[in-house]
Amino acid sequence: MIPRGITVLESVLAMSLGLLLTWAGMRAYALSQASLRQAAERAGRVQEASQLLWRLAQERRGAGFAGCARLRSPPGQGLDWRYGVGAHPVRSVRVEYGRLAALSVDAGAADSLPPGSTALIASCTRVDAVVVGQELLLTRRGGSLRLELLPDVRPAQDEGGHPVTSLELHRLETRRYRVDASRRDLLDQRGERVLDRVAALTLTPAGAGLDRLRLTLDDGMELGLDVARLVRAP
Amino acid sequence: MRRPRGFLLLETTLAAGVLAIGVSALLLLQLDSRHRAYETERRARLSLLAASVAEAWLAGEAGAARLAAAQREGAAIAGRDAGVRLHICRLDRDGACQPDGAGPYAVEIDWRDRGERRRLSLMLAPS
Repeated sequence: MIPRGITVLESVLAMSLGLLLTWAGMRAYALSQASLRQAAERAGRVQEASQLLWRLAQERRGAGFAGCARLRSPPGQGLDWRYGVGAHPVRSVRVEYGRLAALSVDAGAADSLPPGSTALIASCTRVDAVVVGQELLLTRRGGSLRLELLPDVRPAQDEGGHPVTSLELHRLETRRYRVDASRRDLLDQRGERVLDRVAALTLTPAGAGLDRLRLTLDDGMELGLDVARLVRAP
Repeated sequence: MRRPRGFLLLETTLAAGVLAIGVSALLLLQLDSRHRAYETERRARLSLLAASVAEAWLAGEAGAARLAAAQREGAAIAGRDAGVRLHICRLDRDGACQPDGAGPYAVEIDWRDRGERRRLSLMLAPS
């Protein structure tokens, strides 16, 4: 007797079931992959955001000072910080008619003061901001750099003037961060994107001597980092 | 006429077993990867908490109330069952945290991750 084979109906049924199982398996795999991708992406975003907070905290610590002098904050609260970068001690000064007319620093300072940048003449009691090439003229002489202040911007050296012993030269640098609400991007002062999918970035007082940096992402995730408010003694 | 041959119990069991192993492997892989992603996030958040406590300490604000609040925050980040323990201590020569050590101060956060002990240590270096 010839053994019975597989009928067309059985074959079609088996193939259909096989296809159904394959489809279900592929679907499950795709779903699990998507879920994994989401979890990994979330972890990556938290890491990226926390690294940014560390960086902002570091920038915040050094902000607001040029040497031991405090820089005035720009109007309005927010992440808008000013720094005095590269402290060059002043070697000698020339005072004319009670006003600071010129000063001399090491020649290396020229590299950090390109034309158009803002130089800060800072001591512990006051800070004067002058634009290099427009209000401050630089001349290199051997190992030193001579800085000539134009008459209009020469600070008075009478009472309230610069104590010469603490006089330093800095370059003014600003860091400004704002959230572009339409694109949900965190942008720096040059308009470059620092982090995407950001809903808010705030700096609020968190008790005496502490500020809290709070970063909210567009999915509602919130990360915070407390930063000590440093006060430099004059 | 010979009775038509159906699927054997052994064949059915084998097919179901292979399918079950495949599905379990996929699920385990997913669970493990998800957990790793979660652990990365947890560590990043705990690092920020440790840094916040360090900043508070530097600002002279790391009193008992602040530490208790940080402990609660740590428990909220890591989960109640993670047994988070946060403390400020001094490191000994071997880098171990001792209440009466003579080395630099450090913020330490301990927690459990699937039964395994994890530790995050941040040294405090006041300027």
